[in-house]
Amino acid sequence: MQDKRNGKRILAVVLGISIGVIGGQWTGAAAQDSKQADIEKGKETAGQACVQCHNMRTIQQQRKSLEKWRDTVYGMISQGAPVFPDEIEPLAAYLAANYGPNSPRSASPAQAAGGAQPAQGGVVQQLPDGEGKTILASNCQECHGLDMVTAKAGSSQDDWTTIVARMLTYGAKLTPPDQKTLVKYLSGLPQRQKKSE
Amino acid sequence: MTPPLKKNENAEKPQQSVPDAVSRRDFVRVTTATGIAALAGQSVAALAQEKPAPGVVKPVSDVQKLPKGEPQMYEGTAAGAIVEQLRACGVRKIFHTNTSGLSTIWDAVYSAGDVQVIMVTHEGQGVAATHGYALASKSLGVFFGSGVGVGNSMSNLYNSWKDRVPLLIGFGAAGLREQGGMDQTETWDNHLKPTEPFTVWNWSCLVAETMPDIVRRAMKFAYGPPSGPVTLDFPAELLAQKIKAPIYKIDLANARPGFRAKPDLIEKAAQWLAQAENPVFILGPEITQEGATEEIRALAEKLSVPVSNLGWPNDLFANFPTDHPLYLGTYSPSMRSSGKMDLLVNFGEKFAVRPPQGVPTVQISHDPTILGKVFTADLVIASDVRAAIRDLSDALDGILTKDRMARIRSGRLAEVSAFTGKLKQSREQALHGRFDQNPLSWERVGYELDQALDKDAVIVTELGPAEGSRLLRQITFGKGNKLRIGRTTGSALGWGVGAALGVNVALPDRQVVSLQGDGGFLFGQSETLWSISRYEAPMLIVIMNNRGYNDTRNRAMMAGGTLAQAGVDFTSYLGSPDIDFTKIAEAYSIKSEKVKTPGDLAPALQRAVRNMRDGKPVLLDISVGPEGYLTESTWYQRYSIAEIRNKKPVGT
Repeated sequence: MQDKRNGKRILAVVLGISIGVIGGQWTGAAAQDSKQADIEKGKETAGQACVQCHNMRTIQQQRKSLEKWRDTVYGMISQGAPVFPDEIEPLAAYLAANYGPNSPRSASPAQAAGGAQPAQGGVVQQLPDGEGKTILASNCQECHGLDMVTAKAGSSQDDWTTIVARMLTYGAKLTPPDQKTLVKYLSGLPQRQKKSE
Repeated sequence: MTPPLKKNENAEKPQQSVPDAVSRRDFVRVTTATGIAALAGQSVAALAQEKPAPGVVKPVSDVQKLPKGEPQMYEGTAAGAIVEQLRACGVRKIFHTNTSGLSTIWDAVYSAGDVQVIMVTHEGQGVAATHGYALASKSLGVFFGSGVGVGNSMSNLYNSWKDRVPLLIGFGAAGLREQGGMDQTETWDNHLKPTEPFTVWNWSCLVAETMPDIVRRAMKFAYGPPSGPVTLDFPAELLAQKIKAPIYKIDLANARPGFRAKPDLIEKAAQWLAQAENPVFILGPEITQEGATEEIRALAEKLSVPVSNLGWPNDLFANFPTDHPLYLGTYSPSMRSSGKMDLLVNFGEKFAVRPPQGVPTVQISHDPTILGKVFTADLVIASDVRAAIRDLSDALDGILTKDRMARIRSGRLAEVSAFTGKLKQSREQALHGRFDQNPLSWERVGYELDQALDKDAVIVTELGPAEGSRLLRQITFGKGNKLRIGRTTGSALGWGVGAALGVNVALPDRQVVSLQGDGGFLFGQSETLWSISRYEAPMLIVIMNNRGYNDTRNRAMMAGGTLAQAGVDFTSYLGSPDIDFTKIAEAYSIKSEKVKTPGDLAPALQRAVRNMRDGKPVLLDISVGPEGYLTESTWYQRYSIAEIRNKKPVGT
């Protein structure tokens, strides 16, 4: 009888520990997912609210802590940046995650136009020649680095059409013929290959 | 002994607003019935109320009566005729920087006894003061200075030309015998040549008898359209010549010809507005200049159309209440809005920022020279904006039923106010987040100013576009609230303090505040403190002191060139020496205070407001933090003349 009770107690403890571990893992995983979701949301906000007044290079050149990026976001809001209350923290999180004190510096526009891409997760890609390359180098870099473009390499023509249309709403200066040329060029970008160590 | 000013017989009347206009329907009905063409300044509806005399279909108002008699003839010096012509047009303030060549002008001013001369010790600040006066009074600004002072006046002449403000600027000139460099100073002959690009007209007055006529013509050109500064010069010997000339009274309130749009264009614009799901208005300076702020508010509210304005450098006035739920803030082609913009209507703005791709645009202005000048619009309408707003409103009444209008209004208001309400919450959160920063944040300064100043104070700003907008967004502008003038769209620094003085001269009953960055103040503006002290202008001068040209540094770093990559700020640091602006103020007998911490600010402002109410000007030197890139940098390219000189041995 005593053995049965002890067994039950041991089982309860083991179950409790297991639930705690699993729960902790789940909480940690959920927190990580939530943080990533915030960063994605912040990226979306940056594309809508920040580029209304200045290009992404203004952001990309800076390296700040979360606290300082939050303060910067406050300053931008005071200046007129259309950021909603529920977007403030995600935006600060995105900026700190990508442009924190230890984030690598991105390539200069000249380097990016020449084809050498900054290391991103260890992947470097040369931009192929073509009619759209000039448009890419001269127009897209007004607001953001080319690493944001090559990260989407391999996307379908429909996807690129949607992306370019969105860029127009953000202020990209592209004539209709340039839009077609650019979409065609981007659709031909091969998916990034991971560089072997 | 200076005689007291006489009571104003032809007192300078405040700018009359465009007279009460009638609706388009009444306008057409009455003018069709009477056969009388519309005249600017007439109240057609008022005419309809009077009883006609026997044998007359419609009565004649006093304004319309056939003028009788000869103009007043003046006999005396040409300088006296000029002054008499200015007085006949209601001019009672002349800004002036010292010159010896115009003494006959001052003889005439002294004899007239009812013209106040405001002395400013530098031509640039003198022109700025004249400019500020014209902006605030909505009337002509007049300045006289020396011919050799043309160079000094140029940057603010440029600013007034960019702002399209009517100014009459007269310079003394060498006499005719001294043309060709034969005067001892070998001055150049054509003083006005450098002013040509920045004036709407200029003329050297080489015939004494025609001088009053030239002054009248100059006023006509100054009002345009386009409005702008006119420069004249007057040889001293000709000013002293005796002449006989007619003097004409001119109503400056109606000096700029007013006109209304073609009805079919208004109808088209109204149809577009009725059909658009997400229209946006952009408002420009003509709204405030014409006194149309209430009309545009009513039109925007009629269909709950959100309203925006161009930011720096095209942001001369706050033309719409900044606390209104329909106010979106500064326009951008990719601006976030409550809905996808499908119509942009621009009232009284030169439209210097491109419209969103694929969005139809309407541009309305009383200055035909700016219609379609920078970016083309799908529909351009030449009209007084105030009249156009009323005509649009009437046209909408003929297109949409009251019910439909009410549904559009309430539905769109809900969307827009939800959008602007969220942005307001964000701004409050941002203010809260930066409230207690030390050094002070710009947001905190703006907040405390809004609390401490009179509700209807006038803010004359020359702050930089970035930090300045953070401060200004904390202040409520609009009818019954504060008035914002500036920053000049010319953006040449060295304007604000002089302009604020001119504003205070025009609006003595309102509290006037000059907002300056430390860098901007150092563009030759301390001279105006002398005039502020001399004329007891009870203004507040705020110096936002972050020991640097913050905007310049940030833009240089954003460019990402060699200096940015090296982390070197070459030109923006203003410390070493650290300037004590309170000592500058004290040199001109102006009370001043330093504000170093957040807790110091509210009490300092209360003391300042008390002094202003007692009739005393005050300067506050407020320490604020630098922001953006390289804020910690105090580097500058060191160069010491003392160190490099070859010292002479003592006794040589």
